[in-house]
Amino acid sequence: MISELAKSELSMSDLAAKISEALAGADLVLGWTASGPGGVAAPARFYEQAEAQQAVFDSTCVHNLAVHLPRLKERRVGIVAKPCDARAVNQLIAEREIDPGRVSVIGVECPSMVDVKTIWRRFGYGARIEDDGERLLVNGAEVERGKYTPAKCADCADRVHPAGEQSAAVADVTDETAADERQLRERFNAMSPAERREFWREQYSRCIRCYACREACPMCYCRDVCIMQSDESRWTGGGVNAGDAEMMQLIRVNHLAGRCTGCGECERACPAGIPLMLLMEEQNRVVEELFGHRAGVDPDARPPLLSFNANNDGWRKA
Amino acid sequence: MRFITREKIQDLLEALASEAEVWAPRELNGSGGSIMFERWRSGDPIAFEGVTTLSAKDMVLPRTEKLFGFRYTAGTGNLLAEALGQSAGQPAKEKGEHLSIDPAEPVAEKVLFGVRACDAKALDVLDSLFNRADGSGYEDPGYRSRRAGLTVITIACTSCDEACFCSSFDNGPAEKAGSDLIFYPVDTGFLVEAVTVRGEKILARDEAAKSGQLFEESMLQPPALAETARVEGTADMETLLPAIFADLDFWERSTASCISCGFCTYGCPTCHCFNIHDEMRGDREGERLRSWDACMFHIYTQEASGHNPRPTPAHRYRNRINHKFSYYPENQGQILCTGCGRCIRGCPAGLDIREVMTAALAHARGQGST
Amino acid sequence: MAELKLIGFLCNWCSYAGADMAGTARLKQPGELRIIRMPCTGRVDPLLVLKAFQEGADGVLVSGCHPGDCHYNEGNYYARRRLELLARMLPAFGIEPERFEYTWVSASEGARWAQVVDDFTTRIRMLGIGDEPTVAKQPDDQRTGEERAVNE
Repeated sequence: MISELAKSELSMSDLAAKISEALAGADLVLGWTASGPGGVAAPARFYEQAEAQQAVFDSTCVHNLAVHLPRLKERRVGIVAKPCDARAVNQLIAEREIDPGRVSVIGVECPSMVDVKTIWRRFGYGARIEDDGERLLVNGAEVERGKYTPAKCADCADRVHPAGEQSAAVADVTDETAADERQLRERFNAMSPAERREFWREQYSRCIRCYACREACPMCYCRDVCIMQSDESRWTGGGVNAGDAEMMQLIRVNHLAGRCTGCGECERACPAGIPLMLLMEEQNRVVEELFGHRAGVDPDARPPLLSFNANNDGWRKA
Repeated sequence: MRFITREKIQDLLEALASEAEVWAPRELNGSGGSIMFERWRSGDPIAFEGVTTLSAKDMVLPRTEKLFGFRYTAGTGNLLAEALGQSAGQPAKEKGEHLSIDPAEPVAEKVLFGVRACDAKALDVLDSLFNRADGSGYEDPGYRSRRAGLTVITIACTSCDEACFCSSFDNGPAEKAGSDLIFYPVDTGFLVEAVTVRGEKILARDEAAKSGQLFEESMLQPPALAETARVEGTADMETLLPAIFADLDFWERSTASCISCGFCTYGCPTCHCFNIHDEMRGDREGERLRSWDACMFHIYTQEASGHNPRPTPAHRYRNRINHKFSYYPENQGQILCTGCGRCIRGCPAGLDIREVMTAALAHARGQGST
Repeated sequence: MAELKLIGFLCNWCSYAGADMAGTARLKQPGELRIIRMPCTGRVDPLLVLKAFQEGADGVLVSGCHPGDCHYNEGNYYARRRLELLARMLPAFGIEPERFEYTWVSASEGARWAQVVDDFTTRIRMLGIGDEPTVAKQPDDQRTGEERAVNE
């Protein structure tokens, strides 16, 4: 299913060739072109082989394009995928949501992404971002890469593409890397439950119930029938307030147990800057601790919460 | 025009705060640096640069608004009947029990400082729907009371970012519509102009603004022109857009990246769709609420049968564009967009309404490449 | 002190019957636990537990058949996984993990049930009344009813 991995010095012509090849057997290929503001990558769809020349892959390709696959079930689709994106594809296959026979993955090694959202908050929307692998430039001036590397990239255990090959060297992890995010995690981990309750209350008070977190998540494919919004079962009220917003996130976190592939799109999409990955990372850690499972690594793996061990699972006396 | 220094603004706001709630933009650390309108108290910082992540729409059309509370209370005085009825476990209202309504609490007076012209203009646009003074009889009581109690103090823009496009749609960085007072940045402070009678009253009362000399208009910094991508060819858009309505292929291609989250509609200062829903606490009391709704949600037009006339993001985006730039202008005479750019800045999928509009208009004229 | 609100989700076949047995045997146990009968612990959605906490429960107890004895063969195996995961996630959500417990009590273990309730209630009494319910009682005008403390 995963086509031959690109070599460590990925050239754009290699990528164009792969996309072209995929188009011979697919209706469209999901990828990126450099058509975003400031020259950053924007998600794009390639329908004709001639269009493949415009494809790019660089450190501004932050989007997880697997999110579109459930909607494209009826068609044959190719997808250019970073390792974390490929995990999402695998998980969708594991859940029988998409047909592996209709999806071809063009796996690309990831140089580690750049936190475009934070750069634009600090330097203005559309600031020009250039990254040659060595230096990161914003509006022509060099900036410290570590400050604009998301924690999920700095800590990424997925340098190895799910199908197997080792990735090239990635951005250096320095003290400055993802400093804000790390500081937040330290602060959060040191809190007592009561302090955390207060922390989440403050965070959720900014939630506007836009559901961007759900829509950005490849695993949230329930769409029309999602119970966070359903009128038929009122798990949470429709109002925009912290209590209902908290219940909404609890629903999301619980429904993603054992399924979240850690791509971080929920947090990136959130317009209110709520640190949703704090909960997802913790849950993924507990799932790995309890069941030795990481979502999306093996498309044939049985989801841990849809299976059981009749013998003592090991963590309790009875 | 009067002149006021940046420092004296604190005094002005303090004076206003003695009579009303003052709200101002503030940068929130630890939330990715977003800027939101927050309640201002003396000494709080104000973000003079940049534009808020969410618009000022919240002030007149809250995200969630309690329309009224209600409760079923004890009934008519026939104790035996009540006792029998109650022990049979029937719902209270069937036995002649009364429904009492608690009206919503009165709305506080608010002063909103540091609004941008795009937001203020949007209030004007919303007024044309919710607050008509034309004798048509439709006035939304909640909106009206909030709008009447809101003083809008706008700061004209002297810079813009890549997402701004206010000059594309009947608007501009120093547009006055919707504002009570407008502040124009100059080197050492602001020139202040009253737009409405309410604004004049504030200027007349305030010592700080009063004590300035009259300055020449030539001292104004030129307001920012929208140097960035404009939407071209908007003449006749009201008729051009419906002409390509049926071309779903075009809409699918131009909106392919849309993941259908609701941010563009929630961030937009002119989007105003809402949902009314009852939230019960037990079966005796509850509240009727009005909350923001978004046409970009999957379930926005989902019918009870399960059928959904707008099942894909392309359908919904097509509707959104048509509503803003064709149906609403035709019905209300206003464009439902002020070019604030929030939908562009906040879109996680990088969709740009300007690109879609430009492509749609070109396509409708038979010029597009798609 | 104000009465504790303790919620128990009990499976119909084992634990509910066991609780019934404790009742008919007049075994002494504290009365704060309010029981909700479920067909099986496999039906206990972790969200039910979280919803109970959100609505103001001071403690939540789930009890079912012993693993291997589930009336529906395997419901409690699933429950065991879900509830263990939930128990370990509670601190991240801001809920003291001691306020939640899941256990197995069979239909014949009336005495054991009384003990479980006693231990659980005592433990929660020592922890005290829990957090205020987060479900907003009335919506606010702007954001959350009261101004948020802005995170500095």
